[in-house]
Amino acid sequence: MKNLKYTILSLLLLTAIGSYAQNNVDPGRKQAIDSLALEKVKDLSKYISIIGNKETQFSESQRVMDRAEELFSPGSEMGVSSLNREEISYYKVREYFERLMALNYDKVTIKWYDIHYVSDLEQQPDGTYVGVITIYQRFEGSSNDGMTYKDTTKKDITIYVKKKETQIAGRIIEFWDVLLGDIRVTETSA
Amino acid sequence: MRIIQSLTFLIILFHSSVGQSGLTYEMKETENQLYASNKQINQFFRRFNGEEDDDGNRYYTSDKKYRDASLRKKYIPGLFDRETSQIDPNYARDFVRQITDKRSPAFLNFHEDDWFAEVTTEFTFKGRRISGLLYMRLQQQGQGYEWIIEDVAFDQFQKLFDKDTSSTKKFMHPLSHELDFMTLRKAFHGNNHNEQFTAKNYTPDFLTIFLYEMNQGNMKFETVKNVKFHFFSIDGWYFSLANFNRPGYNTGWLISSLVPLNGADQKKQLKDYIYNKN
Amino acid sequence: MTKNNISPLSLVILLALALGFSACKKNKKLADISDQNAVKEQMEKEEMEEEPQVVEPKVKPPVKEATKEDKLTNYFGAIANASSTNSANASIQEALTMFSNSEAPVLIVIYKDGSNPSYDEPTTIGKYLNYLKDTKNNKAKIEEVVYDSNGKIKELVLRK
Repeated sequence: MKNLKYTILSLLLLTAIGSYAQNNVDPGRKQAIDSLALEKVKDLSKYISIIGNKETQFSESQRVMDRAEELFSPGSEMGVSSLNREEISYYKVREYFERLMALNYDKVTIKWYDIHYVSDLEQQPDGTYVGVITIYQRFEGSSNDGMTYKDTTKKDITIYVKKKETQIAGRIIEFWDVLLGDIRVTETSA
Repeated sequence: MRIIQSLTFLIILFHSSVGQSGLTYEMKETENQLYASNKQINQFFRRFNGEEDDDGNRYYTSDKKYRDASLRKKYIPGLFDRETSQIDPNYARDFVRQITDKRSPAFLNFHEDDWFAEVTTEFTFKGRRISGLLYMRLQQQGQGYEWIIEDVAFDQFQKLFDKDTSSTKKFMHPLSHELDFMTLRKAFHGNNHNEQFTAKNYTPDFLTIFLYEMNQGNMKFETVKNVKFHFFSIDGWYFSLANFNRPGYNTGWLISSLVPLNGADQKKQLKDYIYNKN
Repeated sequence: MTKNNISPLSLVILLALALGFSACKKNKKLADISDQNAVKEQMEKEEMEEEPQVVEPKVKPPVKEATKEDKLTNYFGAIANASSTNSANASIQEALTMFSNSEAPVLIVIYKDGSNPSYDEPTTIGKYLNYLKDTKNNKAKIEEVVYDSNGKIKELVLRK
């Protein structure tokens, strides 16, 4: 009886080890990668606030747009719809930033709700991990004539995580490359 | 001393609320609603399974409260659409009782369960904008998983196939073989329902037609209009999942219908119905 | 809330803010002073390193570098908390003088399990300082500093 118990226990242990080995990432590291991914999304949210702010100098906006673009994998798109325009419009990331900067308001404030959701990281066929992080943005635009526009949008942001290697000062550094991908932007009724 | 303490606390509070997020009270209210919302299908899975704490933090397998029964009992009622779907409360009660049963609780498994997506899409087909459904499913592939198109339903394809099975239907007579099948000439002439000349058990394969038209360049993808999910993963039950974008605390991905299934036959019937195969 | 209730609170807040600002200023001065000390110490350290390597070179006495690292930490704080873009840019320019050049690599450890650290994508000090300015995310702490022969930082390892 005791033997059977131990056999079952070791079998369970083996399967547990097996599943970790398959993923090659221990839970602590996985959590650290989750946090890293969330941090990249928060970086993006800060860049967006800077780009949208009418007080940001043109040269600063350009620099920040470059940095924000670096967060993305090439070819990433934003699919945008709103409550009164269900049709999804697709923009390249840079195009989206430029449109945001050119919005016809005298004052723009972009804030972020202190709420986010980080999905599980799933492996895709090529081995890269993919996840989705959801954040919510509050937009307020006002014109000098007193017209204001407000909305809350949900942003579902693809993240790709891949282990990579690079050479720094002659030694090989293994790092986790976290890149943002396509973003779905929907207006919420909340 | 106590006054100083509470003042310090107030200052910290003031700094953290204004300094970090700068949310207005109106936004705080919205934030609470967004917290309650099932923001992703992934979150629906976690709340269904009891893999998330009260503050929305993830429980890992090593956590004590991972998949805790009382946690699930608290979360699961919030996973139903309570505003529009009119789910039978008796069904809901039985369903919850079954999945939270102490001896054999039921959980959702992202990779292994029998669940699939129904995606309402729009395409341009021969110059016209048409609507159709893609049925999509997860598949193991390479080092991970991918979503694949399992089937499609387009009116434009379906209406081309209307097989006449009556005794008065057109046919090629049983001695056609003696004439080198010259009966084919008359059979095909001016006929746009050539499926009459197929076997009794013939069913058209719309996925192949769809792929053919796409690969030929006759059909072009435009956009996704809506997404919902069908779950056959809990023994004896079917439920669907839809997204509810509305104000309040009952929003996001919620169970929009719940049907008890008696046996494999009912399951097949319902699946055929969903796949538009009647 | 009535006006009477608000004013003592806002007074305290004002006081706290004022204290905060003066503390920042003090830090800045401290940083300036520590710079001279740091340079001196750096020179001492280099002299030490030129001696035959009896001691294992990787084991650096932590006290020796503390002030220089403090100075850099102060710059990180000043950039992340700068009241304007201009003052952040000024601090960036000052901080960069501590480095061989703005392309000096910066490694950020995100997780360490024994001897096997996981890094974020390597960046450069120029980019990292601007990152602090833009995102105000100053979570990473200094883990290791590698100096060149001129006592300038040629590589920086941070830890989140």
